[in-house]
Amino acid sequence: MKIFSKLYYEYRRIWKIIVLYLIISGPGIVVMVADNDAAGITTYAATGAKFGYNLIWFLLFLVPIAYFVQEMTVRLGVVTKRGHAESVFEAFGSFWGWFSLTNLMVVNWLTLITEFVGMTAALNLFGVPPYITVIGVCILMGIMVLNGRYWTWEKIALTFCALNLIYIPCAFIVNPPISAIINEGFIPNFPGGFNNTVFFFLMANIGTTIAPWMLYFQQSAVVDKGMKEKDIPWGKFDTMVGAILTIVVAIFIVIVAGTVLRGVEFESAAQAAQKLMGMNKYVGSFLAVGLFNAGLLGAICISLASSWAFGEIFGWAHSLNNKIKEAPWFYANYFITLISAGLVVLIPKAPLVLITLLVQVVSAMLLPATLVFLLLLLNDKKSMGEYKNNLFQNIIGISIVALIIVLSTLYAISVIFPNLFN
Amino acid sequence: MLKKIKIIKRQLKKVIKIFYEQHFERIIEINEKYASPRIATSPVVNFALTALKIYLVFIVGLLLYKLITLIY
Repeated sequence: MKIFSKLYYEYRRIWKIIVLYLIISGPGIVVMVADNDAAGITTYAATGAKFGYNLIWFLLFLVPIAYFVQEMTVRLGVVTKRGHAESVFEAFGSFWGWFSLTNLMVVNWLTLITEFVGMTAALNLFGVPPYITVIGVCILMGIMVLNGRYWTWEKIALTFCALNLIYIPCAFIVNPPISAIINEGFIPNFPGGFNNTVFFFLMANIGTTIAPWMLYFQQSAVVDKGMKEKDIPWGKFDTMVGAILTIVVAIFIVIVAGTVLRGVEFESAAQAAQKLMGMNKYVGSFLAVGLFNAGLLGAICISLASSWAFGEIFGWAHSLNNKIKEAPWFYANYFITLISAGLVVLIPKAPLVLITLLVQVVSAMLLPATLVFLLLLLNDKKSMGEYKNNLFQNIIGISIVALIIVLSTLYAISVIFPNLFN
Repeated sequence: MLKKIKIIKRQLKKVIKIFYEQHFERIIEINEKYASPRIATSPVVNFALTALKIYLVFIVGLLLYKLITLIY
């Protein structure tokens, strides 16, 4: 009897922990999984097609990189109760504040266009015309935010995050050789030596891991959710789960592409899905559904990141807990950003390649500034108190930030001057 | 139909006018509110912000160079 009561007690204790986590979880998982957006899926699929399983080990390094950067936004948001845009304005003055805000607006809008490109291309494979996709996505995202509750929005977003796991069964369908994955993928190596092509792909993979909108999004989400200091460990855990999930999904995409698309050239994930459909209908369809979902998740987070940032600075009501009448400018900003980006995709012969290149360049301008501000803010004893970075966090943080700045800058330079690394 | 379009046009103008009146004033207010940085300007902060400015000049310079070489 005693054993049963003990077991029941343990069951209740574990269940309580799970329930508590489900209440607290959200921003970390959503932001990390949304990082596997349309551009991210293309990068991982291209990596698999080009190098097979050989760069899987490198993707594992991206877990701590993503975690340590995003974890800082959790602490900053919880302690200061401010979004990232407001934190920058308040700490560094209006010059750096406007610089960050305008850059964020531009890069988010351009990225949103690339998400729409991914979504329309993915559904086009099933015969859905682009204008139906754009209208459908706008309506869906409208319903998500207009219910007037952050909690509901977050749980819907988490459902889409679960759909991002579609690449895992996909990998099992293609039946990859497990021994080859272990031998090639988990032993550090550079296929064909450390050449310019490998370097370009490493830069691209790191470039997709951290984007400026992620920092703005998670900090604002943490504030909107109303997380308190006691929730910081859960926020960190949530971020860690998200970081692991995003890289696991990335690894499975590499496995799928490395198994069936090795040596095949393609320019986008939609093209990869189309080629896969010719080889295996189900895998191709899964990849297309996953690409649509990735674009949708990216669009959900990016459009909100902009609206939150503007709301914080202009003093508009800017919470998903507000009804449309209570926060008209917040929702107006959200819908204008969303609809205008969707309309660009529908323009015949719109310069979509140029837009994709611009995203990299503007990101390269904003990302270093955002990361440096983040580190400086996390070392501000006056506002962070006991939650400021310690020596270990600073060593790790500075190393990661320096690495991201150097590699993302080189990636942007390689985008501006494509022949430089050839 | 024409009458309806005129009403919509008038309403739209009104909204735009309110938006400009509210937000241009607001921008001035924001600039005044955040005129001076709150963070203590330690040597580390100074170094980081100067390095950032140099970096941005470098990136903008690269873009301008690319633009010029594209045009000519």
